[in-house]
Amino acid sequence: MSTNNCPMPTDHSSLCEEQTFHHVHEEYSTPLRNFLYYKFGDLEKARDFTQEAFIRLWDNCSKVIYEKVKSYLFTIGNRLFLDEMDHQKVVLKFQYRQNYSEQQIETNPEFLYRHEEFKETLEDAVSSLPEKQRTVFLLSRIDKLKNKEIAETLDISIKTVEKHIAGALKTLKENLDELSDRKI
Amino acid sequence: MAEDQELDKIIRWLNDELTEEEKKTFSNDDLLKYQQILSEIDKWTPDNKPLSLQPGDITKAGSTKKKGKVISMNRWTSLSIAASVILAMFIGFLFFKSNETVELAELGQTKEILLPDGVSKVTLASNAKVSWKDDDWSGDQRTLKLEGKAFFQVNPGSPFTVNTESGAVRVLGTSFEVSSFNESLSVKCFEGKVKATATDQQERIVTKGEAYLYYAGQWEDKQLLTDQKPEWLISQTRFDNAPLDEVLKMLKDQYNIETIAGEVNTNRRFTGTVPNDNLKLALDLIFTPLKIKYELDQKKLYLTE
Repeated sequence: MSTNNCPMPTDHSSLCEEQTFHHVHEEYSTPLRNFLYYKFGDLEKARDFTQEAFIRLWDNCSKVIYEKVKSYLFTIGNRLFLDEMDHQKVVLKFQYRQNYSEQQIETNPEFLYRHEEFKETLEDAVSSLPEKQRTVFLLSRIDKLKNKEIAETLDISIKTVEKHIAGALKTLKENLDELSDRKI
Repeated sequence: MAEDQELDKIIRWLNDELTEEEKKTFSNDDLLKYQQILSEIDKWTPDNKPLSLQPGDITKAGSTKKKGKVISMNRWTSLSIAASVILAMFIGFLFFKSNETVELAELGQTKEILLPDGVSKVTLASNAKVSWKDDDWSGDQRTLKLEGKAFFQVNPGSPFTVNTESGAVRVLGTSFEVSSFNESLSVKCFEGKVKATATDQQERIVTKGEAYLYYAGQWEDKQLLTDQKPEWLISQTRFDNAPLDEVLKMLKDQYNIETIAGEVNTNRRFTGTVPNDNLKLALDLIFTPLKIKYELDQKKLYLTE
């Protein structure tokens, strides 16, 4: 039994309309799954809880204001996971996007870090980032969310978002530098 | 701080705001290294397979709460009831329907709630919210989730835990205030003793008469309290060397004012007592000593130095 005293939202670009709901699902199901993966490191659970979050959104479609739907979804997804996880170490692995093009390597021919094992080493470094830096940084680079979007979705300030992204980048470089110094 | 300046340079580089000269202030290798890291990560994805659940499955089937999987938390509960596969699946199904209680304080109001142990109480500040599942209140634990700020009066008994986005506070029997805002956590203890753990696992023990603030990734020095109870239980809020962030959150919770701080540094500190029911006076009391200009337009507040 849930006693909820929130008044009904008056804005009716309504999530209860299938078209609107489908649009929201189209836009946010992947970033939400990715966010949960970046944060908790379990891809299958991330998928499951993303689905569950959307199910709850549909069930509560009349109670959620359209403008708040992003943060609603991310909050629910986050909570579902928090109830589950016992703070295991996060180990993230990535594939290369199918639609990415090889051109990028030509425009940046100088590799200062050795290229073999670079991906694996970087995955380890990313997994070791503090959670907030990690999730914000990856949402920005991989999901291409704008700083403003990340701020609204996670309910933090834009300045904090910027600091997390820059902090992550700096920490990753320091991490890689330390590892390559040791190798030599 | 050198660290902050370094981060600011990186932020501006990412936004393409650096001049050629400024770029030179980086050690040349650094920029190339950042570029290499970014180019690599930009190519990544957790999974090339698209999400299998289509929105149509959700909307057509109505509310499909059909999960047959057993969630590990409830595996424990089901074992203690009776071990049978069917029951285990039923409990797993129930996990998504488990009774959850949610209590909110409306804007501008406080709300006192009696907790399931029958004796402990929580008073919510304006716009704060607590919630718990039936499972969270059993013989050997009392647990709830808090968003915002609340004052707790906890009867001695089993361990009592308040979970927030910014950290957790655990007590045995005491009265204390917890305020969670913008990744920061403020804990004030009026009776007894509590242990506060921030999201990065750093801890503080807070005893009677003490207060601690976790802000921008670290715990600050202990502060001493002057009152026996929080003053917002009456109708004002006291701030002691509080970051402006915290004050702005109070304006949001109490008056529903959204602040656009612009260039103003929201880490600046404010000390003073502000009414909960007189907006004009509150704005004056906050911003005049800080020498910040403000302009109120409907529910939006614009700040300039």
